[in-house]
Amino acid sequence: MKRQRVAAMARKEWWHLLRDPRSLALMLLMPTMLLFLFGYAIRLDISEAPIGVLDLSHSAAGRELQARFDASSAFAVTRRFDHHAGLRAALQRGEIWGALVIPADYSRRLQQGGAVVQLLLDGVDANTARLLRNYSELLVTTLARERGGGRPMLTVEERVFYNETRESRLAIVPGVIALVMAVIGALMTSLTIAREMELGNLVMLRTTPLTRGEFLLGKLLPYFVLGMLDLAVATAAAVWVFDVPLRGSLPELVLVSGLFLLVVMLQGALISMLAGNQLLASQIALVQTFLPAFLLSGFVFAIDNMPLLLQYVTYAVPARYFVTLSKAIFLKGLSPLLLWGVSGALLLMLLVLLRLCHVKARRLGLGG
Amino acid sequence: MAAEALQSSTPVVLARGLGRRFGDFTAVGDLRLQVDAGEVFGLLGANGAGKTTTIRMLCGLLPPTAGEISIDGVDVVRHPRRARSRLGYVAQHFALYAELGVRENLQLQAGLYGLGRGAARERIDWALAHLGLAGLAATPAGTLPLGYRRRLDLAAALLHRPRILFLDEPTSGVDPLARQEFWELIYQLAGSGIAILITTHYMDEAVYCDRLALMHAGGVIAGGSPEQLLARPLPTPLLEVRGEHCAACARWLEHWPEVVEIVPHAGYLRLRLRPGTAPDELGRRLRAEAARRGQTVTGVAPAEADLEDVFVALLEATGEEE
Repeated sequence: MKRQRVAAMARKEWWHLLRDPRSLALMLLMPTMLLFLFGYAIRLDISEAPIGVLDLSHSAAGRELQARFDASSAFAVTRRFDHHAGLRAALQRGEIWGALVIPADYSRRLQQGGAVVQLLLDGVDANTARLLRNYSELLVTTLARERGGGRPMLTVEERVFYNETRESRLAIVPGVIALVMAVIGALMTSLTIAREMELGNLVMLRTTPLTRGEFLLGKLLPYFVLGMLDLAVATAAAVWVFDVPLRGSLPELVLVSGLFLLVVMLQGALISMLAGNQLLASQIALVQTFLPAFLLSGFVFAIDNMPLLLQYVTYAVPARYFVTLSKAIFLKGLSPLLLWGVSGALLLMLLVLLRLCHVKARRLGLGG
Repeated sequence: MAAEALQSSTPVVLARGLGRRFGDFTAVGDLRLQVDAGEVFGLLGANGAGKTTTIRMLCGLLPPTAGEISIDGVDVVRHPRRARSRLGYVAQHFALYAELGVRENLQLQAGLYGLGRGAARERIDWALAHLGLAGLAATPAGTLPLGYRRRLDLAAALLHRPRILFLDEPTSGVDPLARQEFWELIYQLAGSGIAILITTHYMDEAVYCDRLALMHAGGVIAGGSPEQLLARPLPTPLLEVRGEHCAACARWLEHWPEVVEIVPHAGYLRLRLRPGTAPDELGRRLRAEAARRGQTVTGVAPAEADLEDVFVALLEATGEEE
């Protein structure tokens, strides 16, 4: 790896970018554009949402309420707790989307006609939280009506965590950042190598001592810088314009974003080399990165509500992991190290793509 | 002293037993090639003769399936990247960046060859001045006329002071005057000690080379200096016919079995005759026939062979063997 050669490649790529004001403007304005576009979003439905139960009453009535939740198609009681701390932890890790807390005096107060149960909701996804609340209320009111003949003797008291005001945009913004970076990363880099193959520049590069490592690094460096600049713009807009709280650490956000950006850029580079011409490359990149980042990352549509087959597909979508991580950092203040499975998946993708790009670059006749 | 003498006598390019197969097809077979410092070596042949495959192997762009190549003593097959820093290659098609300026393209090249900042500036200034590009430093390469684009190609290939320059059809499509200027540059470079291997399909350019190799079907069928090649006895005699009614003559001459080919020129015809034909006797018959038809023939004389005649004869001889 020689510094001059990487620098020469990177500088050349930078010149190309500067000569093309349209794509440069696109790259710099897209984050803010998309942030505004997706300020409001929609959520469709929930099914078998994982919830936890903390039953402090240990009564037959309490068990009946639990059974009602479990029997409903909207919920699945996946965890049972015996203290608040465990429940909070599970909620924070995203293992459950909500929790039902049945107070110790539930059975007694039910007889008196004024029982209250508490519903704890993960507000990171505002729409899901709202849907959970509506379903629970429906369940509880039905139960109350059955028992008391129309007299409301059971009420739900809700408490939402992480996104107290349940504003959709808080959850949408980190998703938009993923989308923007997938577009910048993959779409732009997918054109860059294909253009060189199309115009015959690659032949010239092959006769120089440039290695494939230097080639890839030099090519991707300017796009990486721009992508990180986009992240800065998007984060600033998120925090100052949309009032999204950045609860986690900024360095960790930068680190995770950098990792994700590298993954999508290598995806773009690989597509570029496989396609060999710009038109095909951009089409593949669009289908392969932009659309999955948009539809399958859990940004607009909750993954758990997708058909099972599609859920498996999402594991191959890098944006899925990034959306989870950025939401966790932004809204929960969680360290990506805690979600090591998700961070690790992204890292694994990086290594696999690095290897594939390296092999493919050799096939193109680049040395090293 | 002895070591130095040995150094200078080492050929810059030495290829032995070089071969390349693509499946069952042999593109190049058992080729031997040597180019010395300061020499302009021409690789000639029709399209598909194996010129480009050969040049690509010599540059380390295509691994050979047989044989060995050394560039300036470096094994190209085993150390292609080390060899690349000693050679310059100009592809048939413009491979630099059209939207970048002349100087920018050169800056990129300098960087790709690992030149430091100071060395790069010095070499770029040298190249701009030497190749007549000084006034065009900021011009986008894509807007240059073809002849100047070729000079930029040369400049880019020369920045790292290669020992050999490979030029694949550098003059194709370039106008005659620019071609002349290009060849003058080539001579200057060769004069400074750089070896040059050039492929061309312009036969009139072959005479400019110090040494030639004629390729056919993946092998060299003849080699040597233009003088050596011209001195070979030609199996097919040549006849030049001058007169006022050349075109009319050509019409009946093409039916004569002794005449293999008629090449019309302004004011005269060039005839290639079947091997073994006596040109004097045929000339007498030709005059007689022309006189009988009332057509004027002012002169019939054996023509001097040029390189093209030599190559055509050689290729025909090879074709007959096959």
